[in-house]
Order: sequence, then structure tokens, then C-alpha cells
Amino acid sequence: MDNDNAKNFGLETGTIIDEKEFKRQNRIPSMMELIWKEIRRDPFAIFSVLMFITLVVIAFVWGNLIDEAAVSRIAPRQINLSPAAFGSLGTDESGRPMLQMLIISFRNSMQLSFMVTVPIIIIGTFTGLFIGYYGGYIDLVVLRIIDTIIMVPNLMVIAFLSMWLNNWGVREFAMTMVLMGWFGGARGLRARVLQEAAKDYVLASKTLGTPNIVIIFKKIFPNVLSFIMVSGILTLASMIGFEAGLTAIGFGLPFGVPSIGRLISLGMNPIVLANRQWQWVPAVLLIFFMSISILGIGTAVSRAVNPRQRR
Amino acid sequence: MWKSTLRRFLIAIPQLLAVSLVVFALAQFLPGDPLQGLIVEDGTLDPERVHEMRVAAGLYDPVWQRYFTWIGNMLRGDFGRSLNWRRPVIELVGERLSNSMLLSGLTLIMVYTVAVPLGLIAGRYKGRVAEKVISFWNFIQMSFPTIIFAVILLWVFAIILQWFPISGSRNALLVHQSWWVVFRDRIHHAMLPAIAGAALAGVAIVQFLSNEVNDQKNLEYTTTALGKGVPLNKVYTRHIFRNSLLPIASGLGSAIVGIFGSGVIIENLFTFRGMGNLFVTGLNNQDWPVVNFLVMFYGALTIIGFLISDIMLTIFDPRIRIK
Repeated sequence: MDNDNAKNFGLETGTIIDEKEFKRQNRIPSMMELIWKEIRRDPFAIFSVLMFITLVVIAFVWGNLIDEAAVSRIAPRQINLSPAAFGSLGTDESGRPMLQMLIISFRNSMQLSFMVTVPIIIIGTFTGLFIGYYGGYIDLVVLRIIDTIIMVPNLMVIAFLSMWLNNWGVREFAMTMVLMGWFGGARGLRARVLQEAAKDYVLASKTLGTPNIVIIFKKIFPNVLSFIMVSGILTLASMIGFEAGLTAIGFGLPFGVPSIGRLISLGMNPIVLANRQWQWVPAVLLIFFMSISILGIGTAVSRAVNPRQRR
Repeated sequence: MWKSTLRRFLIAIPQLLAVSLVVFALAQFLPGDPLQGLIVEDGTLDPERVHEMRVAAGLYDPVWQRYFTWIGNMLRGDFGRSLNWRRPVIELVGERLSNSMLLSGLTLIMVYTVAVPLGLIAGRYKGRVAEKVISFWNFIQMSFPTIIFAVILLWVFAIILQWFPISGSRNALLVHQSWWVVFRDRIHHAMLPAIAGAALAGVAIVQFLSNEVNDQKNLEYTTTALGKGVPLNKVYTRHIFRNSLLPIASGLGSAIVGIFGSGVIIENLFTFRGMGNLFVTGLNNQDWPVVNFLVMFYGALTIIGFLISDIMLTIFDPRIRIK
């Protein structure tokens, strides 16, 4: 093969090569290709992706195969049995098998994290794009509203809603978390869109008469997609810990719903902490591996979309 | 500078008012009223008497009138009485405030004495073993949600090693002791929650400093200094570290806000009797005077904290002042 560039431009042979062929060779790699390339190059990122897939499969396939009603039946004769006495991971303080309870809890926590993260990303993206692009009064008003909501503590809203609504369930909790969680991402995105909207290509599009909606979604959106992806991944990682923290201090999921936060909050009891490690160590490890895998993917993605960080 | 500070301050006032409105409205929609606990406790209470008490407490007044009474009282320094403890809110908060301030102070000291040097080292020795170890540790720490970190700290330091108490904020048996013994005991109790808080706040600082120092390495002023023959160590201590530390130093105000905020969860995980603990207890007991006061307190703290940060930034960085 001789000089690639010369060949692409048809200089070598003196003929103009096929337009499709030209485009294929000079194509800018898409975001997904870049991310995949970056992940393939980094062993830790591959490990993270595999672990993430494994954990998700465990949560949603194994978790749904377990007969929840049978497992969560209280068995007074086998309370607090250690793994040595009971087999597998032992039993909890109501005599239920820890392993199955752990998987169900993990599934519930994962489900909640996704239920919260996806709407947050969608709402945050729309708000960030619109207020960042239009700026002016809309920007000012929405920002002031956000500043005010930020000052109202999450706990108070959760406490209020859980008392006000008659049935406080998983869905209600998720909705509250979305309500209190969307503006962080929206704010960050707004700043990015503000920078992006000042660039020449936006001005050019405006001059050519492209409608604003088209500029927002077809021109600006692809350029801030990377930011949205990274902040979405970080939100997902933080949600798992957030659920655990809130449940531990009594403002999380309703009491009857098994979740990782519930398991860990039981572990915070000094007696359990000191004597029954099998009741909380697996949950701690599970959360730890989950966040490590999400953050591992997150760093690879942010490297892929941010050339300055690439090695 | 004074003009922009004043303007920020003036913007803050309607913001606080908006927060107070939201908080007041939230409390209004809740079932029950401040006197309900009393009535349930004492079933023999005469309905007539209950009615009188409600009238006296102003519960039948129109909503807006109650709101203005509340705001007016707060401005005059009357923050109401706790329904649960039956004591003035300000007294309760005063007790907790010293605990919270001790905890925040310890956390801040840890953040600035551990995270800052780690960040500087990681930035200076990018690509070397030191940086890799620090980055790895930072990554691990980032993967630990606060609660996991708290559980592990409790298990290792309070149960296995028994270096620190497992909960509480002071030893109640220490009476008639010298202030030093009492103070040491309180520090001892605050240690574990402070470590948890510092780990939470430190991660971002290490990452920020490491990137910042690394970026400054290739800037022109660094090359100039090196070209003039300034020793490498001096270039770092005199130029690069100074520039990188600017945002950290001026971030003190927002750091305090963040630490007070994270205290709500951390204090409860360690049953440390600070303001965060008071807030959660108040919420659980529907003790609205306490909760409302604390929300307003946190709101005011947020505004003041960010204001301090802004002012410090203008003092440290002449470029902003000129603009």
C-alpha cells in the first residue's frame, strides 16, 4: 500500500474515487466507536463492563427467578443462623435465607436507581438545553427557582411527602428523588450549552435560518451528549449509595421493601456489626463492586469524550 | 468589589424568603397541628380547653397572618418552642451547634491537611508510582458511598480495634472534670464521623488539585520560570502550587456549607448529637418549629458560605477584581 492520503484524494491514480468510498475512509468516528475503543484499550474498563453486566444479570434474572413470597416468610426456628450452621449465606434476624434476600434487595435497589436516574437525565437534558440556549429571562427565572429548591433539604420533602401521601411505596420514593435530583445535572448542562451556543456554528445556523428547535437538538445536542453521558453515569453510581444512606436514617424506601440500604442499616446496629458479619458484609461488597464497575465505565467514557484526558 | 458583594447579598434576601415560603407551606399541608400530641397523650383534656389553646396559639388565624407572625418572630429572634422537648428552639440548637461546629472543624482540618497535600503530590508526580497509588486510593474512596465507609469505619475502629466510641458525642459520666479532659473526650467522639466526612469532601479536592497542578505544568509562566533557571522545587512551591491552591483556599466557604450539609446523614449514621441529628429527630417527631428553624439556618448558611467564597476569590485573585 502506498501513501493513504494521496490515494484517498485520487492523486495517485489520477482518478476521482467513489464518493461513498471517500466518505467511508474519512469518516469521523462516532461517539460509540470512540467509547468502545477506549474501553477495549483499558483492561480495567473491560473488567468494569463485564462486572456491570454480571451484576445486572444477577439482579434482574436471578432476582426475578426467586419466589419472593416463599423466601420472605418468617421462620422463627432459624433466626440468625451463621453460614456455617445454615449453609449458603446464613439467615437474617427473621430467619429468612440471606442469599435470596440479598439478591432481591439488590434487584430492588438497582431497579430504584434506574427508575430515578433515567427521568433525571431526560428532565435535566431538556431543561439544560432550553435554558442554556435561550438564556435571558428564562435562564434567570429557572436558575433562581433551582437555587431556591436546592436550599430545601431533600429529607424534609421526603418526610413531608411520606406523611402526606397515603401509600408511600417504591414509586413514590423514586418520584421524590427525581423531583429533588434533576437540577444538579440541568445546571451543569446549562453551563455547557451556554458555551456551546456562543460558538460560530450556532451563529452560522441561525443566520441560515435554521429553526431554534433544530439547532438545539441537531447541532448542540450531539456536542453536549458526552457531558450528559458522563453525568448520567455518575448519577447512577451515586443513587445506589444515596438510597442506602437515606434508608439507613429512616427516610428511604418503605419498611417492608427489602433493599441494600435496609440490609446495611440493620448492619449499623452494633450487635449485628460485631457478631453477625454475614448479615451485612455481602451487601457492602455488592454495593462496592457495583459502584466500582459503574465508575470504571464512567472514567473510560469521560476519557473517550474528553481528548485532554486521553493517555 | 463592594458593589458586587452588596448585589449578591440583596439577591440572597428574596431567595431566603422564597425558601421560608416553601418550608412554611410544606408544614401547613401536614395533618395534625402542634397541639395534637398533647391531646392524644392526655385523653381527659376538655374539648373546650383544647379549643381555647388553639385560639391562643393562633392556629385559627388565616394562613398569611400566621406566616407573617412566624417571619416577624424570627426576625425578632423568637424562634418558637420545640413541641417535642418543650424548650425554646434556640436553646436546643445552641447545644447542638457546638457539637456540629466541632465536627465540621475537625473535618475541615482533616480535609485540608490530608487531601490538599495528596492532590499536590498526585499532580506533581503524574505518571509516577506516588500518583498511581493516590489516584487508585481516591478511586476506591469515590466508590464507597458514605454509608459503606461509615459501616467499615465503625467495624474496624470501634469494634475490632476499639479505639473510638461507637456512637454519641460525649461521655456523660465526665462531670466536674477539667475542661481539657472534657474537650479531649469530645474530640475522641467526633473523630470517626469527621473521618467519614473528610473522606467524602476530600475526594473532589484531590482530583481537582491533581488535574490543576498537572495542567499548570505546561503553561507559559512555568516554562519561563524554568528557562530563567529557577530550581524545579521553587517553581512548584512558589508558582504552581500557589496558583492551583487559589480555588481551594477560596472554596472554604462552600466547603463549610458542604460539610454542614453532609452532616445530616453522617451525624445520624454515627448517632452524633449535632444539628443534623436534631434535624432528623425533629422530622421524625413532626417537630415543625425545630425543623423550620434548621431549614432557614441551613439556607442562610448556604448563602453566607457562597458569599464568603466569592469575596475570598476576589481578594485572592486580582484578575476578578479588575473585571
